[in-house]
Amino acid sequence: MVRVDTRAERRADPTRRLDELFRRLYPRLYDLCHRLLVDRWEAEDVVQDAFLRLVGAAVIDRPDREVEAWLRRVCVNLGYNRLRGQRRGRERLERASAELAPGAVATERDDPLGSLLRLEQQAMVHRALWTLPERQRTCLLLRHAGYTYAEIADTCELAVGSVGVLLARAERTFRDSYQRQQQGADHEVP
Amino acid sequence: MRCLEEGELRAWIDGAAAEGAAVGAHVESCAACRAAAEELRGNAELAAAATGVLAPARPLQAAQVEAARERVVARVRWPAAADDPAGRPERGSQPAAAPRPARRTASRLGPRVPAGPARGWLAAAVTGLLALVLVATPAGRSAASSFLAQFRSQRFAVVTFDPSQAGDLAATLRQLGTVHGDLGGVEPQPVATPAAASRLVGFPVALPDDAALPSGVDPRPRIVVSPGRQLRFTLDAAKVGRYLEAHGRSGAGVPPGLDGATLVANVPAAALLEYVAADGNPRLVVGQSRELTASVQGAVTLEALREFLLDLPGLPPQTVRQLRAIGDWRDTLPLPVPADRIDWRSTTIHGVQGLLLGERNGLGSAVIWQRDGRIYGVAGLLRQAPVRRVAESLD
Repeated sequence: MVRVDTRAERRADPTRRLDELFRRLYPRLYDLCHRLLVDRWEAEDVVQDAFLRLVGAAVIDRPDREVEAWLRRVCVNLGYNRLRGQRRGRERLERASAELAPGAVATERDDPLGSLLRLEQQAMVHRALWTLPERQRTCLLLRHAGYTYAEIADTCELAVGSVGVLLARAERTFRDSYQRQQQGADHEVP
Repeated sequence: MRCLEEGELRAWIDGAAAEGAAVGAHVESCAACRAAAEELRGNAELAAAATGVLAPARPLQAAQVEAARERVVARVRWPAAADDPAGRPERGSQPAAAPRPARRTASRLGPRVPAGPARGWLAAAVTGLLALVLVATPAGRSAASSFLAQFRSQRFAVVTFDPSQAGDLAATLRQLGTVHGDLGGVEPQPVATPAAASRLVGFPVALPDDAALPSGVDPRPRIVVSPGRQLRFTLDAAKVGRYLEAHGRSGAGVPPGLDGATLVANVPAAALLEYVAADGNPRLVVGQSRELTASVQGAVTLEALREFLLDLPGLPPQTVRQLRAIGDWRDTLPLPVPADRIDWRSTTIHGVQGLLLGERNGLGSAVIWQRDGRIYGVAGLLRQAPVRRVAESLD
């Protein structure tokens, strides 16, 4: 059955619309922002901030697909802004990883070694990602967070046909960069 | 078919090619395209595996999504839409939207927390936990229902309330029964050393690492201990009947066994370490106590009593809904939080789930957690990061 989602209905009960959008979209947006920020609080903050911005934005009255793309776009932009504000997320990651070094306070006391390895791994992946142009990086993150080509195109405001090209380039650069990281080459991020 | 661009091949790998079948047939027959597709597939698999480590370690639970939604909804200010009253939900007209004067002292999580700069946070965290939980009537009245029978605090759940609806707790409870004990909290007594505090609270008091303390505070804390106490609340069927009648539910009966049922809450002794800034005011407070326990005495089942209390008329539906949503209510302490002034989020501290609270005005922060049968709280006129640092250094 086709869900009726008229503009009039969307306008009639904005709280219900917000609730519905939030429950449906929050988990995946959180996952996406976590991949970008690698920090639970920051990710939660960014997604919640995006939903707060949605209130009062004209797009809330638009069809779901547009609202979803808008939210993804705002999440990604807010995420990048935060990372810039922190003088790059990877520095934070590295700091976190240093804090977890033996002898330091472990935040995950149940498995400090596992946490340390995970943080190092995350920092390495982030360093490799940051060798990509921003749009390619966003495409790659979106794709591996499970978004479709159409959704990626909507988010990045691209033609669907361009997504494959960007992904192919992004993943090749990522592979090279990631493998250099793994081989211990000190690849500095621009 | 011609040989394919790598973008087309990449899309084909994900099943997103415009003419998938034709692309597939071509790749089958063309060694060059097959090799190109293999390389792209390998790159994609590597990227998928590598970036997988960036995903959250644990997927969100439905309750976490709901809590996040509540946080957002509490902060939403719907734009006024004068030409479209239906488009403007009730929330916009709530007093929460009204501007509030900023306070220089750490604001209190509830109006009955003992006075004193910064101590409000701590009391919220550690000392008057029960008073705090019961602080916001009528919200607190329903919060009380969570203590019924063999309650043992192990974790917290935030229950938001509208401070403008907060009334006099004691007066409301007395409409339903008899209260013994001081709900308002007891003035803490100063002690000389951590060892003396440890003796009074019955466990070794943990001290933060000096290196984790914020700059500008005296590393030697003032130490105070608030004594443990017992609070008893006995339901009175006659009073409950009158209460129901006053709320227009005169036909409603009082469940058998309810009359005389007593809620006994044991509020543990708590040690507070107050770190004082140069101006003589506490800037950071570290509090710790044993867990809060409660039990019910009387011939009434736990579920019946809880249901009865949650079903009382005059309770804010949102608060009741939040309380009902607490799954493990036998060991989850509802923490009333004025959503218009305090932001909170769940956090991991010392490997357990805790709550990080922050004042909207950015002045104060607190973190609260429970571990190994103890409740810990760190609060201060600080941002969240330094408060967390102190909390993590506690050992």
